[in-house]
Amino acid sequence: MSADACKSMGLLLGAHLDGQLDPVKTLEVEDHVAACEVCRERLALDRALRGSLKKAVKLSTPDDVRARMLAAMAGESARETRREDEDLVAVSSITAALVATGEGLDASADRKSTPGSRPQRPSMLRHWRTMLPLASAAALVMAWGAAAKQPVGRGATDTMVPAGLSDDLLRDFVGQHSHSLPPEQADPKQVRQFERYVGVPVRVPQFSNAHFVGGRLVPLHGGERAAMLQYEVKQGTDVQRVTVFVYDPRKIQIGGANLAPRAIGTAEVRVGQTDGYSVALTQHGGVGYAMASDLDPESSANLVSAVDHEQ
Amino acid sequence: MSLTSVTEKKKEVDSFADEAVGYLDALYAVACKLTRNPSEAEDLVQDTLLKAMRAREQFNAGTNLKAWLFRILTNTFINKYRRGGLERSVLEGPDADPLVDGWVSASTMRHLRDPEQQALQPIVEGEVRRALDALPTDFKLAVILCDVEEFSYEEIAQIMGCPIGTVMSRLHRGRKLLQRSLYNHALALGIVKGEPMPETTTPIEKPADLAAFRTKKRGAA
Repeated sequence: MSADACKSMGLLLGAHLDGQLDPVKTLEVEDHVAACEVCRERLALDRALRGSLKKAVKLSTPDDVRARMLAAMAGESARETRREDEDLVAVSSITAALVATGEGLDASADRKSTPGSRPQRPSMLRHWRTMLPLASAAALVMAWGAAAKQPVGRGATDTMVPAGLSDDLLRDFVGQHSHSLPPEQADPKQVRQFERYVGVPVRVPQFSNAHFVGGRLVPLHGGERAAMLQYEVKQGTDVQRVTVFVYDPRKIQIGGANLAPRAIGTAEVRVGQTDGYSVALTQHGGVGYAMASDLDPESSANLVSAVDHEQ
Repeated sequence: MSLTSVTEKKKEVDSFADEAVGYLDALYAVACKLTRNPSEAEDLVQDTLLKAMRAREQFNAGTNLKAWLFRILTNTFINKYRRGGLERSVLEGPDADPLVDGWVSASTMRHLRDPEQQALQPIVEGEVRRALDALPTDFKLAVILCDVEEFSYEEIAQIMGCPIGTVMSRLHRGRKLLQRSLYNHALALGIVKGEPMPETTTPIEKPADLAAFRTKKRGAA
């Protein structure tokens, strides 16, 4: 086989391997390859290389990355829909929430992917359609509750709430607490690694009667991220969920109109309550802590004031 | 706006997002290879997915969503990491050093792809990984999009925003560079025998002329 013939095969062999040649050209290459050992080996080497490349590149997305992508997209979807029509979304979400409550949140627990897998449509749709409306519904209920209920705590005059949804961030927190995703990390040491996403050290506070379950990152409105630390508190036979959000208070300011300030020991805490959810905020060492729970406001304030006890 | 249309809108946003997430593994794998850093790869993929959601009205339903997503990924990566465009101008300069085809014998190539000792296979594969990382971005992208993601030349041309001829030449040269470092590595390990190939050659790319290629094809047929 002449060197010239092989030389003209150069680009063609690659295109043949990629299935990009027309039938006439394909036959021509096949004829040449059948007769030429060198070109046969070139083709075989290219093919083997392609196999090795596939192995070198393929990897499936780690579960935590996948969960963050889903959360970011869900956030974008919610933002977009909200921009479209705030009031209507709120109303329709309540309806959707009422319809959807029975469905349960399977979240991202079993969404392990296989390389090249097709979208897992039904489970994804259930995830978004239930989680977001429920979160908005909880927030709406909370705002109504805050507006309608007796002001809480000693700073009574400060707890009057303007009508409507006053604080997106508080809304985010309560939504994340009420329909929390499973933790990404159960080891406090691993939870500390969230620091690079949150912007402040993420220490896991130790509360005397609360058991740390795990933590995960959550996206907030405005592109910031907070660490969500999940706890369980035993009250008799009852187990209460408590969620502590760790955030950078320089970047995330949480509106105070519906939160009453109070002092517990040396800690300054702000407390509010909604139908069923207590919210308590404090800062310690330049780090912001927001706690959402089903506890009464008093316990909630006491608990959050102890964030400086590290696990 | 009616209640129904808000719900419809939400359904539409969600189903688009849903479909896009089906390509998460592919996007993330390629982003990791491009950035060589998992946290930058994560940012790149997130940027890509959010941009795609915001721009989804520009996407023609029924066309290839995967290719469209990779186009956004590629543009985002290039805008972020290659502001000066220096690498591109070097790559697209005149063809000063054409790689030579047929540089090794058939038996050497056979040893490369199928080392006689199976134990050597992982070493060869590790070298492929290393050599891919070392490829210039444009070659690396062309090779990954073609060999791993199995896009057609036309799709790759759209993704990379260049003519099909350029895709072919980037692929050809990218693969040759990979084979060259594989060969040198195998030589060092004693898997094959021969003379080392210069590995440091600046990979200067000649934008292949598709018209000329087609003419040649017709002429040869």
